[in-house]
Amino acid sequence: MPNKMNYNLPILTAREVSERFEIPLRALKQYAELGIVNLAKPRPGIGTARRFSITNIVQAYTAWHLQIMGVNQKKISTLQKDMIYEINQFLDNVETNNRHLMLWPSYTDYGPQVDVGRSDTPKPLFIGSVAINLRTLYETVLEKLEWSEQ
Amino acid sequence: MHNLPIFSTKQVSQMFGIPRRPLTAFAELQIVDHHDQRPGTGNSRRYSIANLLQTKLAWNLQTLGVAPKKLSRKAEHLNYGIARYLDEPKTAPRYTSIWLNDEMEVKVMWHTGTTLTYPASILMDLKKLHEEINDKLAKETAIYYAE
Repeated sequence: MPNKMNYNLPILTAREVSERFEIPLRALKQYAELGIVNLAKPRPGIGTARRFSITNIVQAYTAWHLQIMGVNQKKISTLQKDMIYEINQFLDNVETNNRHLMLWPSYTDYGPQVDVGRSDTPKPLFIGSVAINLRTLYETVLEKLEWSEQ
Repeated sequence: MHNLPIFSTKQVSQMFGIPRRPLTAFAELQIVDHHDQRPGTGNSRRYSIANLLQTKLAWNLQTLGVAPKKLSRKAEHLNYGIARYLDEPKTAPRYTSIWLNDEMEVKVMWHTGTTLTYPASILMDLKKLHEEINDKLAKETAIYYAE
């Protein structure tokens, strides 16, 4: 398991993330620009590649899973603040923290909105809700990065 | 009986607070499996109970950010699950999920329990969906008779 401090070290370029995780470069660029991925340097300047930390890769990989299932980027970007918060909370202690990132619709006086939270089990508490197993994604990320257990 | 076309588009729009435009999109993309997809100019599409469930589910998923075009690719499977549940609510699988496999392919699966192991999924509770539709219909009926 990598040291927790390393989670936020920018280690891979966008191209490397794209190749290892099969996420199109264009999507990664959009995630950075829309703030879906919270990069240390979202605009590093012309000719300098954006660098992704482990936290950023988990954020991007989560967004990519949502996108493949049909959730549009615009919606993901409106939820980015809450999603990043929940992902970061989970990464604080992957062993014990609730592992399922949940998105569900709720209806307020101002119209429908989407709430973000975490739960231990992916129970469909609502008519339709999204469940992302952060633990599985996190382990896949480490596996693809070829981290060795310490 | 779940397939009897009874409600007009206008009634469904008012009952569930869903604008007419998405309702038309759901019909044209065949997310909602109407008895008569193209009723002709001046005639409204009619909604059965099964259509109401399909509509409410599609609207819910659109609220979550799922684009109707993407949803339409899996509509046949989702509608099959709804039809099965309405036919046999006590024995048919209560839960439906859209999930991703290891090859990142989108699949649809039905479950009787909630122990799901997918890394990413959209979970749907058909019982809750059915109950919500029934509650809404009961309220509408009460309002109708009160008038």
